[in-house]
Amino acid sequence: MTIHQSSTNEGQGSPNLEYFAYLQDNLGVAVVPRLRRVVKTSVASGTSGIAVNIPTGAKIMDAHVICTGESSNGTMQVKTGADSPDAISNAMICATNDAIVRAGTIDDTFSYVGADGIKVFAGQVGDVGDVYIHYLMEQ
Amino acid sequence: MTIHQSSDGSGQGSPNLGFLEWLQSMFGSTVIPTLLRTVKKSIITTAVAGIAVDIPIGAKIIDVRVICTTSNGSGSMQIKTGADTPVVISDAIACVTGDVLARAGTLDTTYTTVGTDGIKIFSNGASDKGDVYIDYIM
Repeated sequence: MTIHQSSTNEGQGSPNLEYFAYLQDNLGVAVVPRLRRVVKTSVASGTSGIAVNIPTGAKIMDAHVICTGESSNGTMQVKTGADSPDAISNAMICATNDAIVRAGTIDDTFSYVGADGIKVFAGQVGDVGDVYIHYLMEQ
Repeated sequence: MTIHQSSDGSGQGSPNLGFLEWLQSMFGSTVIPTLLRTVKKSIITTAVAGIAVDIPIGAKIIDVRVICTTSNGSGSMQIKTGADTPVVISDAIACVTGDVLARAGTLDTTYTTVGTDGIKIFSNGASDKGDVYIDYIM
């Protein structure tokens, strides 16, 4: 990491204080939670659910799958990580290699990530794909 | 630009050290790679031979959309690798009617991680024009 010298007051040394002030003005508490984040989960075998690394409190606002293999009637679905998982997205078709399929529904009852976390479930053995979950940290 | 005073040590002057601490906690190494980035490339001249896109090596392409800017029959835009012999990444996304938004139907995950050859956009016809948006994460 390069530590830039201050352009505004050499007496204050580095790092660049003008830059920090710019960050403070433009990347504040009202902005950062609105930056869309996307977490990728590669599913190679996931009928019992694969946990997703996504922070508690995140608001899931979209999901899509890019299928990585052929699997007739294949699907991927986002659910809560509870012992009895609740569906968050619909089951997205994942039957044809390379096909992109976007979520058709997101259940807002469960789209805030809770203590149980989130899991991605393949519909059946042999369903393979990369699942992208879009989320915000805005409440 | 406002230079904010420190909230946690008046002797430390500006900028606000509390803010810097918060920023550090919010943008850790596990967060930055998840931030969705989108690069826009306006195709305004012929792209039949491919036009390079400024996208970093290692980026993972996760979606592509085209907003057509000119109507042109049989128009399309397609993402491929920037190799001498380009390899298809997306399907050919229709770009036939001005203002129409069309999305990629397929992405070949074998090639969606950007390599040293980079990425290029290829149009079907010399007069196909549109704005191509490539979503990626790191």
